Amino acid sequence: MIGNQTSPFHLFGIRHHGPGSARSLLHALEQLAPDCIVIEGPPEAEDLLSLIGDDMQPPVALLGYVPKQPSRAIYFPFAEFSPEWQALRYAKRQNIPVRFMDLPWENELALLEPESTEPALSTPDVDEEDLHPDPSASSPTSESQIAQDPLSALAKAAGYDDTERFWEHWVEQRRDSVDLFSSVQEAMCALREQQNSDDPQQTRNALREAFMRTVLREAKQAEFKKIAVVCGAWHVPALLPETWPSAKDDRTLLQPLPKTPVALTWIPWTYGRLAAGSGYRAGVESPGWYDFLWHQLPRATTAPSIISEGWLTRVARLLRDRGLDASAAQTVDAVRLADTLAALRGRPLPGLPELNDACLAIFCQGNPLPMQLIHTQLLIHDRLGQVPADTPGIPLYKDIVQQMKTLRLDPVVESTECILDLRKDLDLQRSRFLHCLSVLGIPFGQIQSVRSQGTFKEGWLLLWKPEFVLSIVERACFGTTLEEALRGFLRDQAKQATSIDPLAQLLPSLVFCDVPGAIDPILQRIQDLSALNQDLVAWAKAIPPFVQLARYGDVRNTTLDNIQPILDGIVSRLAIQLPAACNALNDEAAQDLLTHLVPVHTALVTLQNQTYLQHWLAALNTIASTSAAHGLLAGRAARWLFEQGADAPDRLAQRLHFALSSAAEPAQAAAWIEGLLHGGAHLLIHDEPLWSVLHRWIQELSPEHFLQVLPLLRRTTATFSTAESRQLLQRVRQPTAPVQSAGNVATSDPNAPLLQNVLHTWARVVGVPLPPPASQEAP
Amino acid sequence: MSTVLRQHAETQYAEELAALRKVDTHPKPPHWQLSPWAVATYLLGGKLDNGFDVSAKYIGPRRIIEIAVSTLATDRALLLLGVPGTAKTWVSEHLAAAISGDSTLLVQGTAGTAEEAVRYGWNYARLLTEGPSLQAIVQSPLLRGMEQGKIVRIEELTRIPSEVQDALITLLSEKTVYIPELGETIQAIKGFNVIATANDRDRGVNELSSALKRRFNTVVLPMPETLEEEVEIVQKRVASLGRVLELPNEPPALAEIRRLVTLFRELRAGKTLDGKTKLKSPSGTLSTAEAISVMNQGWALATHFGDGQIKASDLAAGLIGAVIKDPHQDPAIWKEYLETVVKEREGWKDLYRACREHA
Repeated sequence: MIGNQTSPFHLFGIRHHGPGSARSLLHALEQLAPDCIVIEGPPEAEDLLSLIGDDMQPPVALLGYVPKQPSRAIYFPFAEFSPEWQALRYAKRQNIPVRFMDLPWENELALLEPESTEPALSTPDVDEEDLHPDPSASSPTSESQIAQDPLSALAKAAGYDDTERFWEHWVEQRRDSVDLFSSVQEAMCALREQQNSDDPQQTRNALREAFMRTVLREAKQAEFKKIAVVCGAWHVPALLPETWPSAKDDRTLLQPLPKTPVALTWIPWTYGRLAAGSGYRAGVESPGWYDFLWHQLPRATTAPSIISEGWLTRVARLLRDRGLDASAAQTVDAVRLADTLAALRGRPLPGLPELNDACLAIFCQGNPLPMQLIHTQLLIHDRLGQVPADTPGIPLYKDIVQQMKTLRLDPVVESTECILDLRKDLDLQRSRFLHCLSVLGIPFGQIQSVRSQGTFKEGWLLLWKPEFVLSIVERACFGTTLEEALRGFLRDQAKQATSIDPLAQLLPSLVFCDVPGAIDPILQRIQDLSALNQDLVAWAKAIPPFVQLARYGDVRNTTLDNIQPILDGIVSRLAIQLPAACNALNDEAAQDLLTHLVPVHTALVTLQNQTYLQHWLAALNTIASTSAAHGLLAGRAARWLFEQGADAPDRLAQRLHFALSSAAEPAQAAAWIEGLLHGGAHLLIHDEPLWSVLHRWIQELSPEHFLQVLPLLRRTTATFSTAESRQLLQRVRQPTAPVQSAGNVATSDPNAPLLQNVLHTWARVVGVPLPPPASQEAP
Repeated sequence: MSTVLRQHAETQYAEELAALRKVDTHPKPPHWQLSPWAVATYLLGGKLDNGFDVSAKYIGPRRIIEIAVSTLATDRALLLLGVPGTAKTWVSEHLAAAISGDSTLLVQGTAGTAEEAVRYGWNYARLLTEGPSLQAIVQSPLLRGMEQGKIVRIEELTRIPSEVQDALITLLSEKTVYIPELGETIQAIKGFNVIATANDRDRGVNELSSALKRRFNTVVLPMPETLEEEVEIVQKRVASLGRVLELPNEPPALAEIRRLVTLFRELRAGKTLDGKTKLKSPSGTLSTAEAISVMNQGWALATHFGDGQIKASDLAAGLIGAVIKDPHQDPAIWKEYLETVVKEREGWKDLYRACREHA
């Protein structure tokens, strides 16, 4: 046990977010029964400790921010398996005082660079020297690495990849876990002796440790008898009472510290943000695994195999839920393989690397994709913590409420309509604000279509719901201001996206949000994905929002230089891949593809970018000219080419002849004509050039050929309504003029008998009986 | 020197195996010649406590060999999967040699492999004279391995017709073969296990049924991760093959190997090593094994028709043969690569000219 009769201090060097540490700490605290606990944390947070109770569920984080600049913030996350959290809970249960002894955040924030680019990610509260290194890094342990993660260095020296398992074996094999902390102390003293004092990191550590000693001195003066000191293992040697420098020295060291006002609160945290990959510098590799260990460790003392059995059973169940093969027999094999692997690697029990290797070889059959699933679902096992309702203000919430006040938007509880005139500055700001909220998933305003003229009007339906607070709190981990949270949220969305199309759908509203830097990660991700992705439909879906963006970007004077190259890439990729994708499709797939292509065509035509149109028309031309393309798509391509003036009427007639020639497969030909005419009869009725091409073609058909193609034509014309068919016939009677409402046939037409023939022909095409001639004078 | 073109692993590396056996104090599974630790050391190489150097047979991630060895120790069958040229057969041969001291129990899988090759056949002469008896049975390598408690290798498992693959399913789970004609069962003794190799890229293969896949632990052998690793592999193999083929001169210079491997890696990955230029990939796999054979061919050419020093012109013929596998697409891809990358690159002028001449 550390500490003796003269010293009230009992030092517990722990590993942040280490379940093994947490378990032994808890055990040690129960044995010691301290009358005060001092924890490495910001002293300002002591007032907030009363909020810890049953309605606070980890993962949660202490958040400190500069009230006037909420973007300057520090987070101190706790998971259930964090030793500090367990110490706090213990103190709460025993009703003993807790002191925080780290350097106050008011100094910490002032010491941090004010214009730090990503302040939301700074976590100086957790020692950099306790960073959990990437376990896959197997480079020889250098001095600086020892300083970064002393326990890991020890674990490596003992032949463990996984510090937690090392700790666990180290701990569980000892009867008296208080002894463990004295070995930690010995080890750390030895490590720190070798340490290079020139390290700039040491300057700040010296400050922090000086402050820690100051707090400890105060605690001693307060006449506590048994003081449990919980700190990162690295600090233990500096806090040993026999090594303390004089109080005066510490005071001198702490004298010139700058200060900045700071506000603190609790916010819910997530395991995803606790994971090492999330930008949190003291992150742990796999929070889900640690969570599992924390809950299994008590049972593992008596039955160590429960860890691998329990974990692999979870893996098997997860894979089975997702429809992958994973039998109980395979679980047994996986447990055996993990055990043998551990034996081969000289470990007493399998750790996470062995378990992962076994999963890959047995459950995934060497295929790394299901391992991804295991990673996100089990290793990260993302979950959101919970904070009590009476927690002092969340900065993001405060920021939103503040903005609502400034913008004079009341949190109305009944649906209220609100028309914004975007030419006015206030309304433009309001629109931005509402767009930002809805992108964040806080639908305070629902956008409505406005009937009035012009694009400068925007209609919103406003309704404030109490549960928005929860959504805001949920988003609070992304940033402290609306803009920053939006940026963080979008960065997260971009990272999670596996397909470009949901990201592209976000783009138009992002332009309206007009938050600098928000759109960039999305664009970057779209670019990366579109280079990797061969999903034609995703590209097709992405184009309309992009085009919208390109157009509105101009209206709103937003510089969107970066979207051009991406759109370039997507359009040309689509144009290159499309012709091949139109081949060998069944009817359903072709129909599906066509529904995606129609908006693309409309968008590109609206945008009128000549390069794009050129690419696009070239692709269409290839489709229309290859007989391998599905008829529906080829027919539509032919129509679009004709409409865009890329094909002369003769060319369309030629295509029509070719597609419906007698050698053509009937189904293919019917699909072609459907592709051409789809969109209803009114197109044929009103589109003069198309009509005349079709009309001429029918007239030129030989009677035999006509009989052959008739069923094919009827397949499409049968979808016309009777009224449309009649109108079409009407159209025949008036070959040149647009359709009139009443049926007036030129009575004195010298070609009346011929016309009568044509009418009969068309009557057969559209499948309605020929109405009696409007004029009875005709013979 | 033996006149055998290619010696069995256990003969070629007999000295290393003996040295390992001498120092091996770790526990051995039944009928294993070496402990799992020693097997892993044999494959991955290392220095023994007595100063003996074990050469590395497999250059790549350590964990792959560890999983493979552990799998065999748990009596689950091992499936080595990978694209052509990732040393699947090489690893399986050395595993069998190290574990059983015998890499010859081998089923060479083909489209024509019949069930007799995995179960048993009959010696008809004896069958007719003596009637059905155990002596009249022609044992498959698998049956022999079961009786002797040894590792059996099945090469090219995916080329074996599906119905013959099915015969393996119960054999692997029950570890017995029933002979209805004799009413007898042959049971495997401890130490028996199966290493199968298969590649997942070639065409014309029989996909493994999921029932069979479940009976294997699958280990995917990756392509060499870094340029250095791949250069090392090519260098080692070229030198050792050269010895076997009795090529007299100095083995090829490292620079030449590095250039060849760079070219292979770039075409395989579809981009230049600096990641700046996108390239089209030809249809072939361009595996390390192919790089080795191109290098060897160049060496032989230089020895027999040149001055013994490998020049770009010696490599060009083999190189083009390795890259251009599809007569329609690949020539254009190769030409594009020559013109955009090889031509511009510092110190590659000779290679560019040589390839142009051969084209």
